[in-house]
Amino acid sequence: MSESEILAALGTVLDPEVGIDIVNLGLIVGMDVNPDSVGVRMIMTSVACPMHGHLISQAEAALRKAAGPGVEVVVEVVTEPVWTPERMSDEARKKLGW
Amino acid sequence: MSQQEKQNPIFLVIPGLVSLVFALVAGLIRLPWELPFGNNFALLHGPLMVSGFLGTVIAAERASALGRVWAWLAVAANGSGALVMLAGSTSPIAQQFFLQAGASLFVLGGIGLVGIFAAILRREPTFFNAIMGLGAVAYLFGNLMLLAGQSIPSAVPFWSVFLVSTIAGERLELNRFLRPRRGTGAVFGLAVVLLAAGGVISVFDRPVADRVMGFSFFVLGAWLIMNDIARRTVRMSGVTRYTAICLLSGYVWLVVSGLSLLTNPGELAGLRYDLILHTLYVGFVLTMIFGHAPIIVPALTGRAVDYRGHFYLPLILLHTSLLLRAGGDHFLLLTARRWGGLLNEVALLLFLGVMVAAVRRGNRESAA
Repeated sequence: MSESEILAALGTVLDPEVGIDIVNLGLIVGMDVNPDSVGVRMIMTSVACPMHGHLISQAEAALRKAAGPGVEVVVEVVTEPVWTPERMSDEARKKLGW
Repeated sequence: MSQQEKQNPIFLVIPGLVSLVFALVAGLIRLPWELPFGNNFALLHGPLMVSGFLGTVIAAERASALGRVWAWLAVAANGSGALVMLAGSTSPIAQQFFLQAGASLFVLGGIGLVGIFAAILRREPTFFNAIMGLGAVAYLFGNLMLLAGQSIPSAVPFWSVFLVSTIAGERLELNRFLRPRRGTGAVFGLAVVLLAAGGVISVFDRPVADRVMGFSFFVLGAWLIMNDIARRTVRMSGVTRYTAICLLSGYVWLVVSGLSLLTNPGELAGLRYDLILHTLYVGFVLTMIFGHAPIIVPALTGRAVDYRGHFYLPLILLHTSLLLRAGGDHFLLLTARRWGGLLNEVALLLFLGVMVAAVRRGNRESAA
């Protein structure tokens, strides 16, 4: 998988409350791409948010679907960097009226 | 299903749901509707609804976020407190003992929720987490009032601070997705200070406390109507739009509850008290639950919720029946209040049915 394919797959995972995907919200902070494995690091906007687990499983499912069989997929939540509104893409900001 | 979702001991929420069912029966009797059973626990409507049901689900939400096993003790304490109180209601002799034991468990649940927020604040010391933490402290105080043998209406201001702070703090967190607007933070902060002050003052002077809290509800509701992210997301589609409509309509009820407190300060029983309480607890709090369930159920259980347009039906019934009930309360029309209250419960049951069906559909689709 290429980085752009990974981002395209993750771009299908929406934060349901905000209606914007996790890539445009700036939650993806790193990735390791190998021929037989894909690792993605993401952050959350707040530790009090109960959606961590669900967003991880959705992201993993989207990556598995795009990668096909035989590729190991791991999505990990990290605490650094801390999310700030500046991490959102221009597209996300436009949708939210910036 | 992620590792975290697998680890959530979600069965601990079941006593909270049992508490909800008994709270609904108790609510019917208090409206009043004559039922062949339930008179022995009719007075427990408030504690079962707030500490037994809401305390359990809110603690579960936060325990899931924190991802620590000990945090689920708060969930267990709240749910089991409700079961203990209900068990006691079957025996007139032991009732007082069971009430105390149940209140003790609610207090433990409150301590647990405060502990959860202390852990969250240590990791992420932000204003919005502090507001939710304030809500947890208010919850603990409300339950302490019960344990101290105070009347249920004495616990109510603290429980109201609990629910309003919890929701307001979450909305402030989501407000970071929007462009900051000058002065809005100060207004919000002032309203939260008044909210907390109202809780404290309620111990000494209820009419003054009601005015202070009523003003706070009014300001917070108006603030949320004007500034919440739902103003933006209501223009999107599907479940995001549904959630936004639930939220915006709930904020209107928060304003109405504030106005009803301001115009009926010091009421502790009767139709006007029903108006104050249920514009807040049904109009504001339940619509938040209607709006967030499609988001929170997957987060807690790992099960998908298949959103459909008919999600709006329970919401519409909730609002129209609450209009009937609030109108009955305001104009002192008991029949309107009784039917409105009954239909509030029908709306809630309809909502639960819609959600169960949506989860079943969601899982069939993900299994296919």
